[in-house]
Amino acid sequence: MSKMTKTAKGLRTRLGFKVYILIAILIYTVVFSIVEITLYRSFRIFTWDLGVFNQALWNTLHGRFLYYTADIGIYTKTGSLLAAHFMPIILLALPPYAVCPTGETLLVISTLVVAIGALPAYEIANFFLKNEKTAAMLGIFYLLYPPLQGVTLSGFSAESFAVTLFFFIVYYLIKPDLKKLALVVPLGLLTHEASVPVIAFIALYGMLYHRSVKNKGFQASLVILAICVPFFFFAQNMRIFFGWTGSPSLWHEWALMGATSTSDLPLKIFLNPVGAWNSLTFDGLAKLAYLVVLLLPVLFLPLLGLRGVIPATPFLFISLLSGYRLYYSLEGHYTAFVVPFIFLGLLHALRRLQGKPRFRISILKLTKLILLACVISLIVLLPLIYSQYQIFNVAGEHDNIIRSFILRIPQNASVLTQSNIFPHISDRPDAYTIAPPIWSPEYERIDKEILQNLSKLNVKYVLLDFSSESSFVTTANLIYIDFIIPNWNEYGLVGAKDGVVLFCLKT
Amino acid sequence: MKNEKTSRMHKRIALNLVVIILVANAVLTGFNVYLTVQFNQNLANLGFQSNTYNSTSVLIARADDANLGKPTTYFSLDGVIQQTTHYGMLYASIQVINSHYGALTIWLKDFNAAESEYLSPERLNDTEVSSADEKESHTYILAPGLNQPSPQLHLKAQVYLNSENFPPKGESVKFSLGHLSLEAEFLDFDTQTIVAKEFSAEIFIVLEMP
Repeated sequence: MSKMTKTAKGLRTRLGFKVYILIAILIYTVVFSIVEITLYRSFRIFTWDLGVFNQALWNTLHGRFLYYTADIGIYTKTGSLLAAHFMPIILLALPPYAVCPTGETLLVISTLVVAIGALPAYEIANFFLKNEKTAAMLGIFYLLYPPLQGVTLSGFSAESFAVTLFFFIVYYLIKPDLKKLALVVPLGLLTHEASVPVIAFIALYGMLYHRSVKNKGFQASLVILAICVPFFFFAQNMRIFFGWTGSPSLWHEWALMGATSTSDLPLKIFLNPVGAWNSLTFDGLAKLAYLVVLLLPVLFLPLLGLRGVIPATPFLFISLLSGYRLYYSLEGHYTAFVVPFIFLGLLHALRRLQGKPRFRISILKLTKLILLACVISLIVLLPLIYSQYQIFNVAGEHDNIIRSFILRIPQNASVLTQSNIFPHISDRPDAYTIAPPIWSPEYERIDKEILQNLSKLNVKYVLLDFSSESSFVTTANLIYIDFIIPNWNEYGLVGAKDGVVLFCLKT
Repeated sequence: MKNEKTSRMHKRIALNLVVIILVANAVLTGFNVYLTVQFNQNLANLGFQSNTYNSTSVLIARADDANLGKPTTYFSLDGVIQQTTHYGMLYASIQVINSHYGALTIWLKDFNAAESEYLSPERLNDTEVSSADEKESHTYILAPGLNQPSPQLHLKAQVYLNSENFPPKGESVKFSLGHLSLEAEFLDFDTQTIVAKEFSAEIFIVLEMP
């Protein structure tokens, strides 16, 4: 016992308050990994992306570079993940994934990557406020900040890498540490093509921060900005190289103003200002609630440090003009493009208040208050998010039935299933799924086309669960009606229990 | 001194508020867990009850008579109308009591045309009533329990007219075209047993000369 206390004291002396951040990262990773794995095992987590990443990485390990099947014919002609989005950063997950190639591994990796963001958050806070204790509290605050949980709970994604790398870029830019900046900027650019404008705006922020042209940080910002412009086109060309179909998003996020992609937006705003206003006010209450939920845990303080929020403007701009709810809600990984900069705005505000003699509350006390507000927001908001996934309603028996049916499918056999089961069988080249048809009529049309094409591929097994959540049941119904019934003579019912049904191609 | 007292009081109020909010949240979360557990327990009980009905499925099927209305298309030869096409809906109502998940499929079996003074006696057998859309059958996935789907079948009738006996111009005549046989089939996924039921509907059309 005394040995442990000594070690703890030694760590505390050597690392200072950073040791608390490391402990927080560890706790966060363990707790949220358990939560996510529980969701995953109950066939409920954001399964579309997780299945896609699991299949792409599994295939990479088995000689088919980032190959996946879910978007073939929609976004990718070749099945390459880099055609759907240019995000080679996910290859960093390959070595740990190779040790244990399952969906669970990906969830632990992404949770850890998100949690690591607390380190640069702590360093930036310490850099701004010159107070280790306050910085440590702010580092912990970052992990408790509810919008970050959206990134974590949405499972494995390139955005998990982006949110942390944005922080590192900001830190090494303001410091400035050019060598480390030269490492993290390319990594940041490789997270997602949507990260490029964010990094360009980080560079703009860097220029405003350093001001003088003679300053190394200013010059580095200028270089980053100069790199971002050609890199954006490079990323788009790489998508085409890897087989992008050129199809815009099926969500039609900016259809109200007639724009098909983000690059269309500026021109459409100019040509159709009424449409732009309609887009902005569409689902206005939800958008307002989103902004409130972003700012409430930080007591709206970033409004006093708007300079720090500059890099969030590209995403806030496209999300608030869109009609796609995931862009302006805490669910999903899109808050990754905003969270670091709300935090940066908060630091700017705190530094501003620190310099004002009239402001009576000490920064430490204010930080405690923010931490408290954040904890309360987390307690209030997380059950809402959990209720959506029905975390407490894990139907163990039913899940075991699904697992037992999965076990009946031979490892290399081709399988078609609905998207909530897909991540559990996507560790094979010929695993197929379709999007829930309730996403949109266009998805339903494409689903039917995919099922028609799959009829020619002699898919060996079809696994459906008619008693899962409604969106997945609609998928199961569509597969049964548009795939099993037209091929009724070719498929036999292998077994069924509690709404889980397994069909097999007759030999 | 007074200021200090006031600030202390403010602090106490804030602290009390925070404690109240935290306790309220903890209680509500506990209540949420309790309700969910209770819900799961009820679900399990329902599952047990549904098991007591056990394997046999009960299937009841019927359909309303369908009026396919006036012709949408006329086909004529040498100026004499020979054939008409009619479209309309047939409403069926099905009741299934089943203990497992399964698929209910409804399809058109055959059509027996009735003799009528307005129909060509030579081509009576060519009179056809079929599905108007591409769907040959209607399928529903049913959960255990009582299910009451109400399929609506879009029908198309090809009618060959008796060129010697048309209704007077400007008048419409409604008459029975014949009987359409349908079949409802329920496949119990778990037991892989099939329960089938035939039912029929009388099909009417309205004839009106253009």
